[in-house]
Amino acid sequence: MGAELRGGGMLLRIYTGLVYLFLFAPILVVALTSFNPSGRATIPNGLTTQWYSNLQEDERLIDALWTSLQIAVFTALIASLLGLMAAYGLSHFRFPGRGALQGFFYLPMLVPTVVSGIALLTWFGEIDLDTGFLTILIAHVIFALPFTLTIILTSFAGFDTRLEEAAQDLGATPFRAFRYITLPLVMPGVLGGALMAFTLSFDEFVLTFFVAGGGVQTLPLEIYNRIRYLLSPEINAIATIVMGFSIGVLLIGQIVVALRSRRAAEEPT
Amino acid sequence: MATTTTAQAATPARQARNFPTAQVISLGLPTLVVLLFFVLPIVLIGIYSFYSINPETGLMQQDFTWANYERALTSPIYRNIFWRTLGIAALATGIALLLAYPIGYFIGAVVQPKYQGPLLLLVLIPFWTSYIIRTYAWIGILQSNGFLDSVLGWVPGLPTELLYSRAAVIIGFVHVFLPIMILPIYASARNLDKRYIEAAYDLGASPVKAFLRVVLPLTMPGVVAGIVLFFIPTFGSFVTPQFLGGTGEQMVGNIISEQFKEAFNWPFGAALSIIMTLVVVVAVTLFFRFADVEEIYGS
Amino acid sequence: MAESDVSIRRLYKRFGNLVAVDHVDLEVPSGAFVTFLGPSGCGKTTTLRMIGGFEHPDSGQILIKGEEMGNRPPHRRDTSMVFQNYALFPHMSVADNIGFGLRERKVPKSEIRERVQRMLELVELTGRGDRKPRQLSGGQQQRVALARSLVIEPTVLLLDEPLGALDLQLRKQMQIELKRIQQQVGITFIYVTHDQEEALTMSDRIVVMNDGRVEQEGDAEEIFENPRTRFVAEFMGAENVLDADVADRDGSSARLRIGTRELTLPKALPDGARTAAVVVRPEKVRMDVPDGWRGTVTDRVYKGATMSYLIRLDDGTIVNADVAHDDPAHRHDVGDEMMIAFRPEDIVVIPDTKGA
Repeated sequence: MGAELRGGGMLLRIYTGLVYLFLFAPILVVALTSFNPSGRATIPNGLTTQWYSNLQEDERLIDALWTSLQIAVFTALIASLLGLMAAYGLSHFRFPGRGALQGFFYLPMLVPTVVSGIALLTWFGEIDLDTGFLTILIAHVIFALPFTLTIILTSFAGFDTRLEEAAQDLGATPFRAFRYITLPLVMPGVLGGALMAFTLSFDEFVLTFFVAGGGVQTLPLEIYNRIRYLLSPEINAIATIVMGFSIGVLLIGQIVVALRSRRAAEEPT
Repeated sequence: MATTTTAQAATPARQARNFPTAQVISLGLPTLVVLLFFVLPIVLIGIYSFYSINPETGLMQQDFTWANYERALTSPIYRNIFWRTLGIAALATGIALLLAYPIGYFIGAVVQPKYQGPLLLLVLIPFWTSYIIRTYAWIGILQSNGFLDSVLGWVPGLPTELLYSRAAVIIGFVHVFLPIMILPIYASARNLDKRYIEAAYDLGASPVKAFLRVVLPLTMPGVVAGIVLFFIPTFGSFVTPQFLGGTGEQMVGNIISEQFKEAFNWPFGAALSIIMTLVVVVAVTLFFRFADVEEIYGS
Repeated sequence: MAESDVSIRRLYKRFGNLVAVDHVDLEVPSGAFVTFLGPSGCGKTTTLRMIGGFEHPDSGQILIKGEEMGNRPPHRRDTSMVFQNYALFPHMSVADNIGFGLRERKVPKSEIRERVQRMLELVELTGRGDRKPRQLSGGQQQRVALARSLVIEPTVLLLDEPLGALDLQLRKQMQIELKRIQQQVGITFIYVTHDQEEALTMSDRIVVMNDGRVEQEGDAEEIFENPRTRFVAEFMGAENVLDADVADRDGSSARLRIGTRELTLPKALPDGARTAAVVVRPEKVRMDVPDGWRGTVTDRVYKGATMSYLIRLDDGTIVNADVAHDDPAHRHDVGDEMMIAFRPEDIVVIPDTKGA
């Protein structure tokens, strides 16, 4: 049986390797192309940083990057705050319809983003809210909330509400008990949620496409427009930077988590 | 008089018990936000889907007509597009499952725990990078004289022009959404108690039987979640067919987008949106019912 | 009555259809170690949590030092709770855990340090202040929880099965330790447990609860020697609780029928009582008497100092009798027949007025 399994294991290993290649090939091709003097996705016959230098003068692109960063930061703040509130409420109170309410917060995941996008566009028109920075932010928050809620709820699942009772019992007001006991203990989830919301917002395209209006360009919108109308080689450079940035955020998050758990493991018990 | 005073004195305490402010605020604000910026907008396009366009002025008028739904469901053009969308999404989902299941199982149940984290991170990295950019990358790979040609061009008989074909659209979908299918399968494979498999072997089951009778049913919740998570964005997509497909690969998402961005027939676009949402909701519900996830979780 | 730290009046609490606490009246004397004893679901923990302010009564009153608590929240009550799982703050050091209540009370930093130090000494954890709770053993965590509650000098310390998670040996040790600390600090302790031995070891007063009601209240000896209800007798571990019918009675005596025979009791029983439970300790069962209940030995267990016999009487009742194991006069094998009896002064009779 062991040999049989090992043979199967080897096949599985090769298969896994091929799927990873499939997942990473496009990313690597873009990165490679960004240094290709021909500007085309081929095996390069030289290396250049020309496309990167061109970016520095591209004010539209830099403006779009700046807008995206701002929206991503606000989305991270608001979506993790709302996620924290909802997770707190869902994990602390027992009431009829609690499960339904949790499902309610996940509704935006169930509807295709095209539909959410046009629905929001229509709604903003109806309530006379001009499309722009604010409408993009609102759309991103709604989109990110189910994700932040999921991550923060996981933190609360491991949280013992008796700790709050103990704090109040020792004289802390409910608010101070939350501030000094609950919040520090669910903070990893809140940070993880914020990080997730940041990245989701930073890369979000479909909703933004509908609710941005004409005035504000985010980076994915700008990239989309360029892909659509003029296939310029600079796209590969900006794409490589954006991917590098997103991967960097992910890796930093992972490293923080890893350090945290290592520190916990190192303490003698 | 005395009774009134007592009643008044008792009120704050009772109110505090029935409406704990923390509960109202913590759940009320997120509920309000979702209600205001998700539920009401969806309801609004539901209403719009019954409006019509005045053929003379080209302006939207508020009446109640089933014409938009009728057009969407009976016109052969749109019926075709619906079936095509469903077909492409189903095929992509099926192929993705064939790729995702072995990987998810491998990471979750085969490799040593210390490799699980890094391998999972490698799945997350593509997921964490921009959808637009990853779709764009396939243009460069698949176009004629693109990367694939430059690498495999010497192999005779390979199709040189893959871009703007259904194959390209499906490759794009599988690549872009594969990670979100791997994650739940990985999670259920990791929670799989290996003693069940050992018990199956012990009772004389062949590896194939052990897989079909033990491993697959126990990882079913992950598979169902993976399929649902993959199907929804695929079915509703409009960027992938727009970038990678030809005119023959237009999906419902493209038509909806067109109605709002170009044709300015919002009522019709709204009707298409409602139909799309209903298809997704029905598909997801049926799928969960069919797969009986509750029962699997329960046992 | 002595001064009361906690007075409970007609306390009532329901969860849905379940009545958790059913009109309980209770006085907790100042400085006493009082134990709420009963099986799970008897209302003891709910009562404790209502005293602490974690649950609000549906009706009735709780007075602490004569002051009505109403729905006052925990942080405005002069009580402190030691939780079943200790509920130590995992992200704070032991010293910060203990100092938490003092910081909330805006006590100056230097004083906090000093008082935390004294508490660490009291619970014998000097030098462990910098550790995180998870670096301590279960018993040590338990002491930290105790210190954290004691340091704020509450009027009443509430303890919710605090030894439940410890192994038997450590539990015995901590029982003595807890009693010592209670006597040293002189604070009123209200202790909740389902373990009657634990209750007997530590308590000045025991309140036996069942189905949300107080079954009996008294000191350890009283509860153990003179159970007032059949439930108390059985819960305190009485091995022989026999069914009896009241055959006859007058103003100063009563005759009880137990199985096939009768027994005259030299005291009056209440008017309503038609049946009664008779409690007799195994060592008070007299074996090999010339005239009494006939029975057969069905089992024999060697218990070190004593030999324990299970005897089945003619009507099927099983009686447990203990004799010194080296007493040759009462040596029997399984299957032996003999007569047994009890003296009226050796039994406790619990008249059942409810069944009347």
